[in-house]
Amino acid sequence: MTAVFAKLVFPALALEVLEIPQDGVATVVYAGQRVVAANTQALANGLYPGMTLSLAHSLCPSVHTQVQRPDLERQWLHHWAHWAYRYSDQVAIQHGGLCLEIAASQRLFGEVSRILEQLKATHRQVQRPIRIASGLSPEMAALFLAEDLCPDPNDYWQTLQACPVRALPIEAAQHTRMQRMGLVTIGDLLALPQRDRLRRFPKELDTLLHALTGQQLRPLNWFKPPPVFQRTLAFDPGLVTQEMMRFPMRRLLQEACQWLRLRQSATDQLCWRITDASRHTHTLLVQLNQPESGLETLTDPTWLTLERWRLPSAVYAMCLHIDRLSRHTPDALDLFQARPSQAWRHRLMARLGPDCIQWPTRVQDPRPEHANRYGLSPSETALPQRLPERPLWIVHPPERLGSGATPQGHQLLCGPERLETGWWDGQPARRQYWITRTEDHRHAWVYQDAIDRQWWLSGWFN
Amino acid sequence: MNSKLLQPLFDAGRLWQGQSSRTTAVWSSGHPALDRQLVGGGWPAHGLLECLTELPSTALFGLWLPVWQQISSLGQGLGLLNPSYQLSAEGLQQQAISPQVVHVVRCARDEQAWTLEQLVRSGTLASILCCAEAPYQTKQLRRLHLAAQDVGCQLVIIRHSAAGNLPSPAPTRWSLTRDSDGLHLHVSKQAGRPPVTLCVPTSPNRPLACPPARRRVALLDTKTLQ
Repeated sequence: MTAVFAKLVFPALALEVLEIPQDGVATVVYAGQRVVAANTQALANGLYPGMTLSLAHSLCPSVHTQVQRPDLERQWLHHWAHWAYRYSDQVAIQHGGLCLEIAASQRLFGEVSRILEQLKATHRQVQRPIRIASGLSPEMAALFLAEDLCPDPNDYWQTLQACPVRALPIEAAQHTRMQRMGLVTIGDLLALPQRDRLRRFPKELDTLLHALTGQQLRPLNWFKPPPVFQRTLAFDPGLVTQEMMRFPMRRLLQEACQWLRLRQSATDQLCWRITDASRHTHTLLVQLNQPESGLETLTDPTWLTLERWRLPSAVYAMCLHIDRLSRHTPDALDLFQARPSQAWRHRLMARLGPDCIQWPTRVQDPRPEHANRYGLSPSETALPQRLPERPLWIVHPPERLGSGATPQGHQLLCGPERLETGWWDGQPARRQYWITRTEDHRHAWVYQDAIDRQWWLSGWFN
Repeated sequence: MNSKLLQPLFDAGRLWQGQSSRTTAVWSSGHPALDRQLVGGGWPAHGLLECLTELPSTALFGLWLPVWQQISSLGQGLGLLNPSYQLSAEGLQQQAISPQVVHVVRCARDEQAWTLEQLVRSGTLASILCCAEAPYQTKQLRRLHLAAQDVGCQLVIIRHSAAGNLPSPAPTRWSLTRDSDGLHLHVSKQAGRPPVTLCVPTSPNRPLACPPARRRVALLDTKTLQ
């Protein structure tokens, strides 16, 4: 399959990151004494990107100016790379825009024109200016974009050949040279034998033509979702109720879910860092029973944890941090089989604590108090053969019953079962176990320590 | 009266039918004589069940072993809320209950009703035994009963004997006492049957009243008062 690349450029990116309204007062963004972006009002006053700042002030003395923020632009492009990742796993941040390989996405999203339409639609909804073009290479797509062309995949080659040589991103002197040689279109240039081209022009032009035609693709730095999710929202004035906190928290969770989907991962721990008016940061840990990636399965335990948290005077910032990831594999279920919901476990753990649900487990140890434990996940070990009858309830630590011939208040029924073990770990046990009946007709499991002759209650049968 | 119209209400346990038999899901109590006294031939499989006792919760657990054995053999989940002691995996395995299906949950006393509702509504636990008492309100009990009935879960709670004088939405209530003969049950409330009293004897040499190997053996000495 031939690769097809889509190039996306956000013309108002410099304005958008600085939250400059298009139809407000005339404002330009500048870098190095040159205007790089102007809002609609500034354009109407005759200002345009590329002009010097002093000329802009001469033409429109009331123009507002703001310095360009490339760091914020990078953050926004990063955000949009996240968004584009849902359409293609090959997304690159390139020259103030995005570049996507979309040929492989056709099976999921339809033909190229439909994919481009879908990419545009998201931004049209929020009236964000966007320009898109596609080509056989990122350079071809960029050239079509510069020439304001958006040909169909079948017409890429013809359109490229018809493009003027002045559209090539090369030095102006080379443009002039080509014109003097009668080379008007890129098609004319490509028609020249390579040997002649190399003789007349620098080698870089040949490399550019190879990249432009898709014969030799230049390597791109493909975007990968970061390994850790960390997003912070700040508020001024601060949030004073938990209800007010829910809206931004839900927004962060939505972004986190999107990030988890991109990474095809799930998490079992959400770490909220909440900053109050005195700049003190509170940590709110939401522990899940098992890794999850769905929005509802993350929001529900979050609300329960939030309810139990005492709100400081006001919340001025909140940060969601996720670094515990595990591979998320959707369950293989048939059409009518519902996945058993684990939301109830998450809810209980969020409200009652991470170890509120436990399972009785057995480990290979002759000492009953070591053999019978609770685990945080179900497990089962086979019982040893000929294990004498064991009580259902273990009294741990055991209760002292005195040191007489028989335990006080107990009648010996069955025994003794001798146990001599634990020499290897410094907790030696030399005991004689008995099943007894108490005065209130219960059946107990007691033992006499062979060293100090003390009786101990170790378990209950009923 | 067209009984077909009412049948869904009977099946859902919303209407009681006097003395006539009704089809309702039950778990055998493991004691044939007790099964004969219980409507449907066993403990109700859905809804709220109330045990009024001053005995330790271990006594009720011993009585409930046969029910849990049946549920465990089907691989369905079991829940135990706030047990007094540590549940022994070895003891469970010897009683043919898989420890893997037993969820032991701990919570504060004032969280008990909420926790029970979450467990019931989970839809993954067939029987839940609440080992600790709590001052339930009638509204909470009704809510728990409706949730258990809706989901198809058996919820057994322990209440102090004094609560027997208070009204309760639980369709099945019994008091539990013990003496040298064994456990004495007084089933004071169940759908369509008058109160009944009987004894589940304990063998003097066997610590558990109903070991699984002898589950089918009638160990019951019935003292029916009806």
